[in-house]
Parts: sequence; structure tokens; C-alpha cells
Amino acid sequence: MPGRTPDDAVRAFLSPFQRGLKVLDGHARLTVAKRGSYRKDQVYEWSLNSNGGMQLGQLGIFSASMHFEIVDSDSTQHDAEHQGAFRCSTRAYNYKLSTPRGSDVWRLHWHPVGKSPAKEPHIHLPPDLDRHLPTGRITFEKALVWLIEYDAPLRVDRDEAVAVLAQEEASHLLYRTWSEAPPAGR
Amino acid sequence: MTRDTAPCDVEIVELSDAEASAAFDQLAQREMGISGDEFLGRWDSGEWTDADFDDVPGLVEVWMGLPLVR
Repeated sequence: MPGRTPDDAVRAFLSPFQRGLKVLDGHARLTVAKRGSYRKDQVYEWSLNSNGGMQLGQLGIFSASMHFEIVDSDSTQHDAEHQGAFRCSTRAYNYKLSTPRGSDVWRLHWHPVGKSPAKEPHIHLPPDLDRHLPTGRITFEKALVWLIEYDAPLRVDRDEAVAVLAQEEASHLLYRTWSEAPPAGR
Repeated sequence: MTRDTAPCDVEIVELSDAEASAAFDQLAQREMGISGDEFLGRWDSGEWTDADFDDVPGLVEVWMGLPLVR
């Protein structure tokens, strides 16, 4: 969602993640380094518990981080209620579920840099974690739904949790600029 | 460190530059067994320019943390 200022845009970007995480029963905070001030064309990272991940009872640890950049908002892409000069655009993500013993259950990646043969969103699954299985873009909310499928502890009942996440994901799905493979240059 | 807890109890915590630097150092130590400064030096020297990020244990995680310091 756009914001009037860069700060507003970051707040609007992070708020759905805040609300989505609230369905899980565990300690969660979104940490971000503001680097003085939020400004256009600077890449920032948010992470779950300062890259330490979130303990989810006996299920294990869910780790999540995302790169985002503040960009100009195109007013034609948003309705009258959601206007602003700036918005945040995702640049990379890393979501991971690990067992209490530290084995990875899945790793959801999008890191369009380096020489990786998989610059598009992909998943690594055991037993062969070296394989890059294409996924298309996985929203943070979808990753949270996956956690529910793995019986993550919840603060609300399962149906309500899924409904909350669907609602939070909806505006992202409506306004995002790509879903399968990022445009060239990203 | 500034905190924004409204409207729900999942906080947004904005790290100071010193806190962000410490967090990056912890991340590099945990994921790759090196200091944050060593990671930055090796990153700047191009050590992983031609690497498949997924082939280097911990590299994706530490690279994700780069905006903490840059």
C-alpha cells in the first residue's frame, strides 16, 4: 500500500505482516534498520526477531526476512482510498522452517543475485536441499498458512487464522506487479 | 531502538545503527562462523561474486542481512 511519506509507506508495508503474525502463538517482532531515515532507492531488510526466527512450540523455528525498497507509487495502480507518493517493493525473501533439532523442513527463497541458477522464487526441500524447485512468488502470508498446515500453535482457531491471512494477503495480490517471475532487472 | 506496537502486539522494532551493526555481526557469526567485518571484506573482494548463493552454507542468510549495515 502506498504512503504519503517514506515512513508511511514502510508502515503500510509492514502492517499486514504484523497482523498476520498475530495469529501465531509465539514471540514475534519485526526488526528493521532504518539507517537514519527511510528514503527512496535504498534497500532495507525486515526480519523476524532480528534474524533469530520465531519459536513455534514443538514445531520448531520459523525464520523470515525480506528485502524491500521504497519506490514511487503509480497512482493509476491504486484506488482512490489508497493513494500516496511512495510504496515499498519486495526485492528478495527468505522463509525457513526448521525442526527443534535444526533440520530444515523447507526453505523458500527468492534471491535474484549471484550466480545461482535459480534467480526466480524457489523452494528447497529435504532430503535433497540442493535442488531448486520453482514456486512462483510466495507471499509471507502464504508461508504463514504453510505453518498452520504443519500444526503451528495458534492464538485463534484455525479457520479464523486462515481467514485473517487471506484478508491480509488479498490487497497484496491485488496490487503486486508480478507473481511468477520478476520483471527483468529485479 | 524505537518500537511501534500499535495496533497489535507484534512489535515493529527499528534498530539504531549500532544495534543493526551488532545484529549483522551476530548473524554472520551464527550462519558462517565469521565476523560481520570479515564478511563485508570478503564480500567486497568479490569472493562470492560467481557463487551460487545456495551452495555456500549461510550465505543467503547473511546476504539477506546486508541492509542492516549497507
